[in-house]
Amino acid sequence: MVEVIVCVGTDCSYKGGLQIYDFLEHDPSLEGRINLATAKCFNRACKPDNAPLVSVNGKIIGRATLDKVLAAITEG
Amino acid sequence: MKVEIPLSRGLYTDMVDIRRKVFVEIAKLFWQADYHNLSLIKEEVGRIPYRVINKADPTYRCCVYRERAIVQERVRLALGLPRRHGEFSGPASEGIEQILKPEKVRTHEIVRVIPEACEKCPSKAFRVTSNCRQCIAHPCTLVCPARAFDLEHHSPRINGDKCIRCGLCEKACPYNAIVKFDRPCAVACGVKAIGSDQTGRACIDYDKCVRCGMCIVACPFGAIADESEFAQMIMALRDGIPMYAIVAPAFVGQFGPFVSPGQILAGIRRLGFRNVFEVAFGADVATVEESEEWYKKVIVEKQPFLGTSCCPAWVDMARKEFPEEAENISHSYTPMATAGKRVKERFPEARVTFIGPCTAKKSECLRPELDPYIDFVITFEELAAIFVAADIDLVELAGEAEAGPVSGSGRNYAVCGGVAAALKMQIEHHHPEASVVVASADSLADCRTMLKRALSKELEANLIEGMACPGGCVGGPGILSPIRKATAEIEKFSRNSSFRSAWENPDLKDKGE
Ligand code: FES
Repeated sequence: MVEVIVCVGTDCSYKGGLQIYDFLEHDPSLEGRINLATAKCFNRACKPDNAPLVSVNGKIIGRATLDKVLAAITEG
Repeated sequence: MKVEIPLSRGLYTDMVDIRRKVFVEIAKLFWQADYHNLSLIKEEVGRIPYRVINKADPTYRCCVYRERAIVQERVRLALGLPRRHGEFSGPASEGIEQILKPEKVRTHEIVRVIPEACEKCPSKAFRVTSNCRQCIAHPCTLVCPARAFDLEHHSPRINGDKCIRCGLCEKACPYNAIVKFDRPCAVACGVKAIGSDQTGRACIDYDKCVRCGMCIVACPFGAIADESEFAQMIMALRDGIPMYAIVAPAFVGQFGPFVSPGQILAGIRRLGFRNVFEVAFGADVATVEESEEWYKKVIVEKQPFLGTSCCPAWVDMARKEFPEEAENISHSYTPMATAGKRVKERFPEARVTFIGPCTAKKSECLRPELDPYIDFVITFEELAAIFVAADIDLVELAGEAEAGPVSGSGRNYAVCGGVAAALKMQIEHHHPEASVVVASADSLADCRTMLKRALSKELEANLIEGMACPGGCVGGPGILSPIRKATAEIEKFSRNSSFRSAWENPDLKDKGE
């Protein structure tokens, strides 16, 4: 299982974090492959300009996009 | 919800990304810097395009210079700066002295085309695409009544000058190789206000435009944007002016599933507003007033129907296109105006900011009779940028209790059908003998059809509700959350209200008895 944590703090949500969460939550091909969780702001790691943040198996991805996150999940 | 919601709404596109980056940059600037320091503000405003477009190579357009030129125009609109004539003229901060003040600066033409960003999309043009198999039969050319096809090396091409846009070729092609191109902005515009200028770029006819903002969210190039005044609102907050906020019923669920309505209200207070109220209270007042107006006009005076008044874009369209029938549309104030008026009566020194999903209200608040009640109008998308700039994280806040007694039906005003339902409930309570027949439409095109049918007596309804945006206010141009999700959240919030109907609101002294 890949541990995926999506930040749902206001900065990350505003810059597309919620849409990433939504996709990961509903994509059937990810079912059973990831443990999806949310986090409040990662210690202000979003500032000044890093939002949205997603952590995949403990590795934090800044300015995350769905593509970056999916690639990281595939790597495991 | 009757109209189909465009699939592109609610996605986080690169267009959304750029718009939000610009908003955040401006919010940060005015949150941190003193707006009286003109030279600093000018310098910083000039830097914003470089911060937003910070790569050496272009991502979206032909070159970074054009990308920056466009961002520069976005910055100007977001600052509420006046329109400039001529392209690429002068620095972004040109004329900025005029808008550095903590008050309204906008004009009525709040929906604007950014000419540099417009890609001159073909308007109602038929084209042969690469799906064409160059078949032997080529029925496309044979059905064409205008003989508009040129056959070069067996590959048909449509001559735009001859084409009469009948669409027969599109239907005749067995390979779906002929498609109709249209401008997304013009398709989205329910009042046909979008035309072309001499260069082929989109331009808006402001006599027709009702400021619904649907073209803004429809253009995939982001070539249309609305003027903002959240910078001026921040200036007022920073000046210590007694600011009060009123939030539209559509606020519920806008910050995603992890933020409660109470946390949103808490966040707004944290920005420095003295207090924040739900516009849904104004909706309760509107329900009381409009239900009586309905009874008087429809039952007593035998007028065929009454149109609701809460959506300014719909009212504007109805009055512009059917001026003789204006009496059929309610004269009540919109909930925004009522809520603003009420705040100013209670706190005479207050300045009121309306926070909502709506661009039409940005223009509505400039009307002389409403001007005293509403000082600023900003959207949820702009509000979120200010939260980011002020480093306020809503998920970390303790939620607050609800903002004043508001009925469930008032909270449901944001959803298509909610206004009429509230009115019907109110009327049936006070006049059980009256029979209320409701019709409602969302999107201006459907509103027009509904109104026409009502006027020709084809439609059997005596209460008609018009909403310019898909799904109601919850589908407005200034929203953050996908429409269906937000609708579900609003309905839940409305159901959980401590009372259901406007007449139960203890704060309404005159209950329409
Ligand atoms: S809001 Fe996500 S890291 Fe700060």
